[in-house]
Amino acid sequence: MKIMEQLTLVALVGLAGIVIASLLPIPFPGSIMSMLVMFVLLLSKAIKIRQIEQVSQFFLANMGAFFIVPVVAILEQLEVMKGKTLQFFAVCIVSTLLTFIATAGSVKLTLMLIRKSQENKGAGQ
Amino acid sequence: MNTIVNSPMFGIALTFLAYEFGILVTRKVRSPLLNPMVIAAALCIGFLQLTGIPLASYQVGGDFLIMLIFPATTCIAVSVYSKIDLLKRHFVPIVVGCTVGAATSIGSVILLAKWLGLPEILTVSMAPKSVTTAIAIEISALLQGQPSLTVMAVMITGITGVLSAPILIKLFRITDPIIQGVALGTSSHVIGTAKALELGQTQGAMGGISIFITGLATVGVVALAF
Repeated sequence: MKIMEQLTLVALVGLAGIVIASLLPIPFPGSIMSMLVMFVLLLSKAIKIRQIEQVSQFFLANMGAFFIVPVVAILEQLEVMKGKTLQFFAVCIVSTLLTFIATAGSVKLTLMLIRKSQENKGAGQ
Repeated sequence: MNTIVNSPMFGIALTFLAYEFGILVTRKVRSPLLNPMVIAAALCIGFLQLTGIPLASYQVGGDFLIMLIFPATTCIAVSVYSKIDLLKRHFVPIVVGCTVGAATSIGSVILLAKWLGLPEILTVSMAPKSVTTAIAIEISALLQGQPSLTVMAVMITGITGVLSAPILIKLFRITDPIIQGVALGTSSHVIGTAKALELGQTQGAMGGISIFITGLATVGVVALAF
């Protein structure tokens, strides 16, 4: 499909995400809902990858370019960060290590439980 | 001069130029501490400080680029869809791992920040730090955080994940590629997934899937926690 048609499709799915998110009883970001909508449409084959291929590849490959502006805006936050920079780093670092360990542990445990239940099923037959 | 710097083209041109330069640098010097976005942001900040051009002028064009984060987020679905077979095969462990990871990340940020006496604005800005930037910014906005602080936290998280993963993998003897991939993707999003890809194809794919699931799980945990 032509780039313009691909962009139109992505914009429409984005709009659908906002509409659905606004109907939910809890606050839910429209962009994340649109990601979910796109996923469901791809799963149900209502949208095929080739219909959005170039546009989605462009966005996925260059996403970093769109986050530069929010980082530059840190200039406005220097007052809030004053004297707190070290703590800010510490919280992020420690929390990341804990998250890694908790995730790895829970996946390991789940895989073990699944294997065990499969073995039990095998033994029962 | 004012008409030039207050035109949207100023912010857009400066940002893209800095990003291209960042890509050039990271092609020459490969390091987890360097990524095109960090280099570009440093360049833009330096340029504005040197010239004395106000941030508000830069943001005229900058705001246009920020709007594009939305469709970019929509397109994350495409990267997950291309790994749908792996997601189906390991659905339960992935969902459990990502949910536990999302809860640990947010829970530990709240507790650590409270313990260190950090103000609310920093806590809520850091809370979504383990998910990919596009999703983190949205969650931060939902909690009335500051997007720029959130992006900083996301970057620190990614770099921490990349640097610590080899040590943690050795320390806890994590040999299963599925566990390695989910742990990296969940704890340190895209940057962690790039590292997972270095460990192997399966690890990279699992990392990519985990970014998506952790993003959704984080929205859920945030809805419950705040």
